[in-house]
Amino acid sequence: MTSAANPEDAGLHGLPMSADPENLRAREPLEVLVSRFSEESRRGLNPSIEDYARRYAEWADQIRELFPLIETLESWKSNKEMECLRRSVPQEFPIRQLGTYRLVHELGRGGMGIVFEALDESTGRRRAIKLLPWRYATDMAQWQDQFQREARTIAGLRHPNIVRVYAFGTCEGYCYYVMDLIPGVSLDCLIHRLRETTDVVYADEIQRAGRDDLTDVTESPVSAVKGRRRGLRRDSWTDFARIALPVAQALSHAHEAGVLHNDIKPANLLLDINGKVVVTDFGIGRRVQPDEKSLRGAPMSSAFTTGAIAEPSSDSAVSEQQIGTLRYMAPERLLGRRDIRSDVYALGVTLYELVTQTPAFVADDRRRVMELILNSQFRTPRQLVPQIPRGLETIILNAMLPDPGDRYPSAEAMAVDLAGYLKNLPIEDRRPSLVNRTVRWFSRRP
Amino acid sequence: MSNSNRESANPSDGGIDKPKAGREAEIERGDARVAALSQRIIDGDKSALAELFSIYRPRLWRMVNFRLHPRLQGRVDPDDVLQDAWIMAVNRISYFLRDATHSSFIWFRMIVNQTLIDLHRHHLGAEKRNAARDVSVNSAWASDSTSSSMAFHLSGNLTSPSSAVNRAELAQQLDTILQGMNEIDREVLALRHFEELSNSETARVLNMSEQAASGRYIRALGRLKQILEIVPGFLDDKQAAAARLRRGAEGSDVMRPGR
Repeated sequence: MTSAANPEDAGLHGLPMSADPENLRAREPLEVLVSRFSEESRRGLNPSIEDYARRYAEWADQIRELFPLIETLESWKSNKEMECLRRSVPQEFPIRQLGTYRLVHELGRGGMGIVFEALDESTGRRRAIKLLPWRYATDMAQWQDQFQREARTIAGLRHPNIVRVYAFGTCEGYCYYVMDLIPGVSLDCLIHRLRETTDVVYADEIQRAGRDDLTDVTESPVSAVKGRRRGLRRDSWTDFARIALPVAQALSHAHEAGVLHNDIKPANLLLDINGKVVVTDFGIGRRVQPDEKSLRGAPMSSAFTTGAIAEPSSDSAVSEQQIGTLRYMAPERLLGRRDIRSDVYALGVTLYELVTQTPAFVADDRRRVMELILNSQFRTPRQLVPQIPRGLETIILNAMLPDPGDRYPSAEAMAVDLAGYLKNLPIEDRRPSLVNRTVRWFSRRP
Repeated sequence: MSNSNRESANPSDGGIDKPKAGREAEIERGDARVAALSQRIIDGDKSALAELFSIYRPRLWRMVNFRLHPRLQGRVDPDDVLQDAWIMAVNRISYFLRDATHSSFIWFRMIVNQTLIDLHRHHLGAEKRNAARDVSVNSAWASDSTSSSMAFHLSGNLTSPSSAVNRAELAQQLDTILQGMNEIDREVLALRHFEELSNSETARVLNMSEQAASGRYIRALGRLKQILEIVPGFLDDKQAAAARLRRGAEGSDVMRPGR
């Protein structure tokens, strides 16, 4: 490394000369606008190209020509930066203690953080801690802001089926927040078990499966008493609806508060031993995917990608996980728009998978998955499993309609139908009739 | 449905200027802080140097992440590069007054730049980077390193049939086309977009007037757009996808659908 000891070396290569001519400071007006637009994008303000074009009519053509490129480039750049960061997340996390919390073991990697089970040594309680795993994250004011905002937003959503957030903290350059530890398993774990066995999957069994690396799991005495054990079978249709109902209600509550979840999928819904479902891992602090640029209308967006933090093991795990998130995205999200109905769609896809134990959209690469979603190409639940009750299938199909305008207008509307199904009420099919569709199709032709 | 809510909003209170006012105040406060720190650094205060370095750290990280050769990505931790650069800055504190009075950020950036060049020479061998010091328009980077960095940072977003071979080929193709770009245009793009330098900072790094830097940037963006339109898999796919989902094309922006 160069040192200052040698005076010859003291001047830095490429150090600019001073004496900038004062008379050449006038900037191109368009460049000033580009700079402002980029700056706003970088701060997560989602500036509108059309607003710019209208305000600066003189430059409208150039704005419409260049700004979409800038928007795309900005989102690519932050995705790439996050990808570079993700690569540097170590397999074994070097920190074992955050304030009074001792990190017991890793529960999972997803979203933009690593989740740990932790022991609060001041109270003896077990908690879950979500950690932004990059040292000096506290230096990147923007990231810390977004992460803190995510914590604060979730903390503000008080609902029995939404995970509780207690505190936000920083420690030695790391940011984290503290949540309830849910003693249970995620729905994707449950779906996996249901796929494996035609028999009953018992609640205590899946609970053990989720915690098999813990030594202090006590054998539940209930397991000895057949008949009193809670369990699910492949055809527990009403139980599946009972699982989806509180999720729809929780989403409705969040939507009322102006918060989109953005990442509803089986892995983010936890089922505890008593059958209570808890929605976790709100994707509110995340930056748009390259596929969903210009996310105006979303309450928040930021420097974080939707892509999950890769397990450090292999590249295939990376793409596997990214597809895992993509699979539940509504078609309009792939085109850069979203609203509460995109969450409804994702819940529909999740319920589809729970009921059929088969993902709705399966393909090897992202592009193909996107195509399937955009073309609404999937087999109906009853094509896969004819025993599925018609009403339950109708709810799934209503939620998965490709046009948000045809779908349930809110999570609450979906909850109403789920409750209706549980009371054996008839479920209205929202799919537009062939006649309607044809008329609409023609009326949309230019 | 559609975005009528948004469109009817008066753009003048649509939030474009409001955050900016706050931002400007922020920048002013920041400038005052930097000026105070600079004065202390000139007096030889090492802790002020550390504080200033930590203010710039995120921006410097971004630069390292961009400039790190694709072959070193994943092998070299940008934090370690910044650590080395910090030691170099401490050794040079007595030159701060002479070299950094115009912009302390540019001074730190130059130090990080030099650290990176040394690092590349060490890892990639002298012959790979021996042209580094004299070829360049931008502070000692060989003219091909910026284009390969840009190709690397752009090619992760290819949406085309994603076999790795294809992706690598396209990145290579992009690299070649970027190399054909005017060198100054390319550097302006790298500094303005990838390193997120301001217009005046870019002008200073490239030794040109702010006016020239400003014009160059607009021109370079236009060129880049043309390039990305030529290379398959960048800008064309999304439009194709949009056409396919004609029904979703009038989807709504608003939180609450108007039904």
